[in-house]
Amino acid sequence: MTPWVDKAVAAGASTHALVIGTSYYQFLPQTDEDASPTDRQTFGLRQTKTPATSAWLFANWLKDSYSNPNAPLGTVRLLLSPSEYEKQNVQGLTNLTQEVLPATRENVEEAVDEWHDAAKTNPDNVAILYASGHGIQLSKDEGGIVLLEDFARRANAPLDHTLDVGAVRRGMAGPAMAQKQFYFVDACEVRPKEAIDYQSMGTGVGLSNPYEGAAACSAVYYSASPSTEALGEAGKGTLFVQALLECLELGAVDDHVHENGWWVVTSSTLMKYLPGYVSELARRFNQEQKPTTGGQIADVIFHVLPEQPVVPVTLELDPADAKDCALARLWDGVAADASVFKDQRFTPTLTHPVPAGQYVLTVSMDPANEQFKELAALPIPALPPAFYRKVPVG
Amino acid sequence: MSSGDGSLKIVMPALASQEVRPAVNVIDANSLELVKTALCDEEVSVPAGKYLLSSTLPTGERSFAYADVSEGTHEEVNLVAVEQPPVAGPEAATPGLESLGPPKPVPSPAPTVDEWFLRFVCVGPQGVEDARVDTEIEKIGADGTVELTLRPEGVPGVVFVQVAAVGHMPQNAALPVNGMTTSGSCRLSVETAGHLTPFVSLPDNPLVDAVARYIHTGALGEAARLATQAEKLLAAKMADPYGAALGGYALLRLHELGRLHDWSTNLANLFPWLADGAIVAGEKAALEGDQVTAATWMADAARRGLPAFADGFSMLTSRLREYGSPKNPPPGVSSTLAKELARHAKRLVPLTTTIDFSRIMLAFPAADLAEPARSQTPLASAPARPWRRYTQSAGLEV
Repeated sequence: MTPWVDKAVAAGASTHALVIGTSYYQFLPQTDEDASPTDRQTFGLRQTKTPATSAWLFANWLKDSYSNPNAPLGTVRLLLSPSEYEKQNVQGLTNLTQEVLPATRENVEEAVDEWHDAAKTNPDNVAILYASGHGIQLSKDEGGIVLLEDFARRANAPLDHTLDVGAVRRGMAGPAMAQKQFYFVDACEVRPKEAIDYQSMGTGVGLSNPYEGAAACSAVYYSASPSTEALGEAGKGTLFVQALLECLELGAVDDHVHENGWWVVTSSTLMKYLPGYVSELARRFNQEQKPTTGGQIADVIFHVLPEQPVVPVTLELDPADAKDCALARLWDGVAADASVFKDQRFTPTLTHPVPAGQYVLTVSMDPANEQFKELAALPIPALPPAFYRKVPVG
Repeated sequence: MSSGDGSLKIVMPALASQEVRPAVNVIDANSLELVKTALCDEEVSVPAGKYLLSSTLPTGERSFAYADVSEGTHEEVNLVAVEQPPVAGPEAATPGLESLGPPKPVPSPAPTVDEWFLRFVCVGPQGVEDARVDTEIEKIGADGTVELTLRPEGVPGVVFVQVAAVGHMPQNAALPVNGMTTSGSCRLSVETAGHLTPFVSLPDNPLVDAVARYIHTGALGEAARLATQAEKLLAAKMADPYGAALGGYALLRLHELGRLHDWSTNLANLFPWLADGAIVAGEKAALEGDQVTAATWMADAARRGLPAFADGFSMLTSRLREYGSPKNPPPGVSSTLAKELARHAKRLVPLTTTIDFSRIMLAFPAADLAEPARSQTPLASAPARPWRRYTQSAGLEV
């Protein structure tokens, strides 16, 4: 298949991505009112509206924003099966280019093989797999099984038409293979008891296992543990992809500058912060979603920010009554005539985005009074992703 | 201390135990580059200058501080958890979120389970046996959550607590203690709102508790660093094997196989009743490409019963699925061993779809721990001894 993105990369390492999103399923009921088919096992699943959107958003982030100077983006293979809703409501999914193939077993098999071969050209390569759709989580180390558009085509072997992420991952081994691998599995487990017998229900797309150990970094970020659902917002994608993109912009940026002055998101920082962002998004909707991370997570760079991150600093007056007289100045503590901001009032909070760094907060009182104290220099370590503190003036 | 340097010591007064010494990033305040990573309470020499200090606590909270170090002087800095901004409540009306799974019935308001039953089971090389555990109710929360202190007897296997109510699927959770190990007790919380859910914690062993918390919050580097202390204890045979296994899992995840050196096989051999030791040894071999050793350890682990930790169950079942193919075994693995692995896979792999892998201890629903995947059946009627009955009015039967 022709990659959706195919950039000419100078000699050296490059990044190769495979992105799959399935919202439309041929053998599931076409509407919510239709009954489940009786001639095949479909676990009671229905059509969805968010996996293709999520894969599309992630693929576009890769194309437009992904940066890894050690392994620039080489190829993105994109397979999407959008729902009717997404075709009509999500920008870009209406008229997909011919490079974007439907996420059927045949197409995915070919794409996996080509992605494997591309990743195997240099051990310094980076391999990225993102798959979204209905799925079965097997363990933290397997990555699970993601159902493809023609899932349940074979009545007696419904799982033949799936992506077996664990089997793919085991095949991505050997000394010539990309040693930095990232798997994002954005799927919800199929919970019915029938799924317990999945081993006898067919074999999904995988790779042959060379039995050559594992890459030092082969991290599996799974959107939801079996106890919670993977949730999605129609038109905006899954909560997992929303959180992932937020983490890649700022939420999972490491707290210090790395080599070459880079601000980076690493395999470890993603593991630390991505689950919290997903859970927090779910909490805002009064829902629960608990992502997990498995596989091997040697700390390697995933993404380099284009510039110094801008960190929101939130300062809250304590006590709040001081807001009528307190004036804030944020500065570097060195140059007396320079300020990030000066004479700003609290409401009683004050939020201001600043380039990551060390700052000093000075608080004066206007009019001066004895009820509240002024602060000459309060350290403000504004490190990613955000800084918050109470400002004690009582 | 070299010329131009000062010294810096970072203390965390809020830490519950001096055994737990989190790592602190010492960052140059001007360049924002990492100068070094120090341990809490460790005195380090740094060039005179201004520094930002950043650390992740076992609770997952981040902490920041600022230090100004002058040449030839000693600076001591308190590091405290960053205050958290007020959290906004959930949206007033839940918008139309979709679930990537089958539709579920709208849950009815969850009533508290008033009557439930509890028992303890040892799962080890000998099979599944009842276990004796001293049980003491510490607290009953306003929401009906019951907190108990558990002191298991010394048994050659992992002790599981099983809680159940009539009409509910029994829920199981592994305990991180055993009468034969240095830590003798743990805490069990049984949530009774809606569904019975057992949660286990280890407040009496702050080091292992901190390692578990770091793993739970995704801070593997910090977990591995603390686990090094557990490794030293293990070398002295004083260790808590549960802590050592947790450290082993953290190092495996970080792919720091060199740091595991003999630790993994020592753990597997010193504690032949603990499946986790064999899993750590087997997974290390698998990651190194030694499939025969890996397959042998994984079969041994499955013979030992069930691991105590969800990470161990994940690694075990993944390898069983990979190796348990009698028609096409990995190179060098005999068909006899492959057949045995296939038998274990048939018993254990189906259970993966019921495990909550976001938890540290292995926890799953099942009526029969000998055949957990095949016993996904609710409790039909009030069970007899050794089950113990709990009611809100009478407490836990003796």
